[in-house]
Amino acid sequence: MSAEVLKPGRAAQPRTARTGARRSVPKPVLGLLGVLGFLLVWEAVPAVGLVEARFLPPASEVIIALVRDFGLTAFWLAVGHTLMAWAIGLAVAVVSAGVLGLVIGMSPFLRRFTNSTIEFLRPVPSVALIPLAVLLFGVKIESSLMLIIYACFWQVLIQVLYGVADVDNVATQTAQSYGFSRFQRVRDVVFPTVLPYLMTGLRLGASVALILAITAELIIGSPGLGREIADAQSGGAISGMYALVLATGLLGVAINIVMRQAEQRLLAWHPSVRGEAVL
Amino acid sequence: MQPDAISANTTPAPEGAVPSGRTLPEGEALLSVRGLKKVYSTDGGPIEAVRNLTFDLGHGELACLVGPSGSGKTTLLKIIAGLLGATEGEVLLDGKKVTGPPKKMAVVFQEYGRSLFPWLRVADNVELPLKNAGVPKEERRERVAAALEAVGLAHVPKSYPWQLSGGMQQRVAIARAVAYQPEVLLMDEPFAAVDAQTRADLEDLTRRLWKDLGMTILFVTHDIDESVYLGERVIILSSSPTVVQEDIVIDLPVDRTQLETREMPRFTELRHHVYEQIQLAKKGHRPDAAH
Repeated sequence: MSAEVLKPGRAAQPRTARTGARRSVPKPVLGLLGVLGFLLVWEAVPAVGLVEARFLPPASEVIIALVRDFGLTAFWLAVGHTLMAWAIGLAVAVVSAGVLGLVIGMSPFLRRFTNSTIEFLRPVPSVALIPLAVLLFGVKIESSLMLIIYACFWQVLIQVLYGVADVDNVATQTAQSYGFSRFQRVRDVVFPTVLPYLMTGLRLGASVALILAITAELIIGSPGLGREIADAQSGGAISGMYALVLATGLLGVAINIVMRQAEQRLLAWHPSVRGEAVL
Repeated sequence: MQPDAISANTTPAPEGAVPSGRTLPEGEALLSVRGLKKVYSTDGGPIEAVRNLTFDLGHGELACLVGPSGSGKTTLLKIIAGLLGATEGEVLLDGKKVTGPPKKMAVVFQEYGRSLFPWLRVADNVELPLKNAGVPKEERRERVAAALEAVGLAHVPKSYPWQLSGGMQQRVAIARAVAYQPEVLLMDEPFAAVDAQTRADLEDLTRRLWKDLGMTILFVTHDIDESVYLGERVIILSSSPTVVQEDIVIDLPVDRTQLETREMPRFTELRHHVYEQIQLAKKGHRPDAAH
């Protein structure tokens, strides 16, 4: 037994970044400096007259407008509409693509049968469906949903198919030799193997869903931040428009942070995460 | 008994017949392999991996299957485990024909890293087959703890398999099989991927589990020393297409130690004998040559 010593898992090793960071500026501080620098340049550009202030108001003015927005019910209503379309669309896409991906991926026949169709439908840009969505649903939330679901569905489906193909042969045989039922094999072997792929699909889908939610609101005019942007622009509220654009950016950042957190929680065992995760 | 006699219990084959391993009277065998044949159909035509295999495994036996590389050992094991269908012949467990993976069997694979589930902690890996077999929670907890204790891993139930060394991972896989309490434990070259010292430890662990828990073990290996040291019986396979070359009794003491047992003259004789048989098999000598 003396021959076997407990090797430290990769998670247990000290992070090399820490030793490097002691000499230079810590990462978050550097990031903050970058943002400040960007805002300073933005502030200076209209001030020195490089761009007219009526096309690009200074950063301070936009931030004030954004802070003012934070106090308005209409703003939060718009955020709510956008997030609702985002969440419903993403959820429908992930669940349907997840289930279909498992079913198709586990059947060699279905895989071959659907392969060409998937390869044909996948590259169709979701925005090409805008006229159809308007015809079907008008300016209601369903139009946004249709675009979001279509775009996210393929992202997730492809990932899940890759995931099912990655299920280890020995793991499957182990499950079989212990007499796992088909359902138990899917739940205990296939699904955990697919989960990292599903999470990647979900993270990609989450960004795509936000883009399409805003796009649909801008172009079709369904309620949400996108329509507010279009309204501000046509009403000549340029600072307000920039403030809303900033708000969509913040929303994107927030979504990305939440997705990464969820990924690290769920996949603490996975090689892609276990190097960074604190166990 | 003559000091250098190797007691072969291969059924003496009549002239021209296919030789078989030791068989037991009906009803006494736990595992019976009867006239097993496996032909793979490939693009280049059919390949006969296993020609005709017959042997029995009694309750509480520890038998090693040894053969030259490519002799279809893994194929045979997968057929016995019900993971692969046979072309001809049959495998019986407790007199019942094996058509799929039987509930009363467990397999320890060579690739422990792929056989353990990386998303489950050590104790959860050991528990999962019990959970899926519907063992009550309280009993599960006891069996998992006892199995981890038996393989000397009681101190790492909360670790993930990938945080452990190779030898420890294979112990987890063995603990999982032990907790499952199978009637037959199949081991497919389980120690081929670990270093020599760990391997010796794991061999002793296997002997200890067999002795203490009264398990029935069929151990596949390509290592002649390992087969003689571990087995109470060694079944030597011919080169492919496989038949039983010889089936011998290992009459070494039950209590074996790496140093003393391997230095015994009897160990050397047996090892010599098995080695010769494998060399013969490699050169293409076949017990069914008259066929």
